Amino acid sequence: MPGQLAIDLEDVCKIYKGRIEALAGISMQVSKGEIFGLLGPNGAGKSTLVKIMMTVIHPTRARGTILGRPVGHKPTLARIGYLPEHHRFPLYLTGRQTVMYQAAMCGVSRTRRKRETDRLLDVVRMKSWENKKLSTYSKGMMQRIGLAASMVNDPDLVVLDEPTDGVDPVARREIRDVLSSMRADGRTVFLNSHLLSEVELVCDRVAILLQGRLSKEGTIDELTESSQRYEIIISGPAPDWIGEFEGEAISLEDPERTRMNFQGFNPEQVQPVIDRLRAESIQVISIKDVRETLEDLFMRLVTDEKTGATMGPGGRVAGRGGDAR
Amino acid sequence: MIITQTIEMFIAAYRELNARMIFWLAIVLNLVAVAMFATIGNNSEGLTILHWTIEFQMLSTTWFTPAQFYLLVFYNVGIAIWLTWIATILALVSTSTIFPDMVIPGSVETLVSKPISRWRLFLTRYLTGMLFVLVQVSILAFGCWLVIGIRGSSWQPTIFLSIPIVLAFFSYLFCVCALIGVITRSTIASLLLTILFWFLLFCVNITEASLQMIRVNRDLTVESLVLELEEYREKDPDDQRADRIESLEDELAERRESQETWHLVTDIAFTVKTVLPKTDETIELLERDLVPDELIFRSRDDDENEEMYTSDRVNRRQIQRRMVEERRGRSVGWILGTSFAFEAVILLIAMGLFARRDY
Repeated sequence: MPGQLAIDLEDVCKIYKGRIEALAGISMQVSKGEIFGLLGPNGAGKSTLVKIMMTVIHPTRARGTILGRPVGHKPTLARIGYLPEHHRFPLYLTGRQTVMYQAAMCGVSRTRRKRETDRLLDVVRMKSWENKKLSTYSKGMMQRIGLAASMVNDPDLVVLDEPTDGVDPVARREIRDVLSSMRADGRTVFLNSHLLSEVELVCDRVAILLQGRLSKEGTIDELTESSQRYEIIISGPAPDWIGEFEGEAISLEDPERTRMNFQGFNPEQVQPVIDRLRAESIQVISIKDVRETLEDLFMRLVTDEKTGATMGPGGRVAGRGGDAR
Repeated sequence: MIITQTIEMFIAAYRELNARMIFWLAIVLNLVAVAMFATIGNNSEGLTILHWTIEFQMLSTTWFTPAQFYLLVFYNVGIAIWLTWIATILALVSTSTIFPDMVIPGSVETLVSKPISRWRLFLTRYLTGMLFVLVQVSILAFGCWLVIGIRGSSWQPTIFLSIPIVLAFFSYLFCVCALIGVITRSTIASLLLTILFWFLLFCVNITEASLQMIRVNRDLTVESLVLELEEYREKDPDDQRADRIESLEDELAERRESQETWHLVTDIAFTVKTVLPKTDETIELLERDLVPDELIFRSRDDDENEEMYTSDRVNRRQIQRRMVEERRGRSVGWILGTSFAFEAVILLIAMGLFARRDY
């Protein structure tokens, strides 16, 4: 349903000089009102994709829409908030002036600018620092001001590139709360982050980019579904019939105990196993529903199964198979 | 939206300049220059500074009325030295950061991701740089206008012509500064290379003026020979005169050959100059409107080194007069038109690079 999509990208491609293929035809959809996380190792093309959406980088090829308008449509940017990675606002401005300036550049009227700046400085807890120059701010304070600046135009879509970069755990939690409140207000948030635990906590859906290609996309449940298993620890050796349930027995350090794994089982499928164990009076020590974390999934995707080596940074050289570096 | 963005960019530019010590230093120096201008004057004995008098007949009221004195000082010192050299260097130092600061990573993303075209963004930033010079020149022009009006009893509105003329002069350099800033993203590189470009223009101007002087010398020599030859021809012929006529004809032929060579050389220099911005001529436009011809020649005719330039047929006064006439004969359209065409080309290249580049 195109009307329900905040971002609908199709075949986004970027080839830099030297035939470095940073993006190799990315297609992705982000629904309105969701928090969408973009993951990937360094050089996977995450920032390039964000910058193409924000017209900072010209795509080699791109189709699709953002907020219903073609990618690169300048007036639409008035409805988008953007916090770039490693942003550098002028240090001679105060926090308040910075937020006001960013609002004015989005065409926000003076009255609304003042009102929104007051409100957002409160939201990011920078009200007491509003008249101090940015040159006196810490990295975390800069991020808070940047976050306020990205919301000051009352955007329908907020694009955040590493918003928790350099901030302490308290501020991270506050930023997560701000993101959740944005979702509650019906805004769409597109989050580009290295911090997988952050993404896991706050995102409705994620996409993983690897070497300029979309490797996985979906909700965290969907992405980790295949890794779901039941892990039952019993006392004594594994029963002979474990094969009937396609289970796998793993010996533990304690020779008196055995761990049995049942890959892909749901609660209904595991009930007959428990019944059989009880019927044979085998002592069940624990039953756990185990699922991969986002970090486990990510590491699995970036690790070569055969060699065990993790994927190097950088895009591919167009027309070749290997890494650029 | 366009008005909101433009106003806010100008306010931001003011804050940027305000944050720099050199902006206020330049303003203070301009005010000091105006104050110094107000302290000098001339009387029947010579130059006056506050209540002291320095005997110097050349600057006395015998030679120049107070109004003429102030106009000459305003043009020869205020414009030709202060604004076109010292203030311009200060302005370049202050504004050379505008474009490198705009395109550095982290800053450029916050600007180009806004609903404003890159072309408009570039042009607005360019105009904010020009604003700096506008403030400086306006202070000096207004201050000098008051001084000349009050102390020289001559209210000259033409003094305010210095504002657009000095702005045009600065813009020739600032466009190069902007281009280098966009390419290199370095303040030091853009400042140094702009000053190098300015030095190149200075060299071209000096070379062209020197070649013009030699050519004018040849022209005047030929004209003098033609005149003398006609005088001899008009007189009754005798053997002695016939020999002289023959000798003059030989000399004329030789001089004409040399004249043609120098015409070719100056034509080449002129062509080179045509494609470059004309810094000297632009400032001299103010002289045309501000300083009367007789005042220019009177001040130049008093040169003590005249003998250095005097030959058997042509003296320096004649050469100077002819050169001034020729330079003043160059049209405003040619001076400003070709200079602005250069500026437009440089700006188009810089804007094109800025608009096409990935950040």
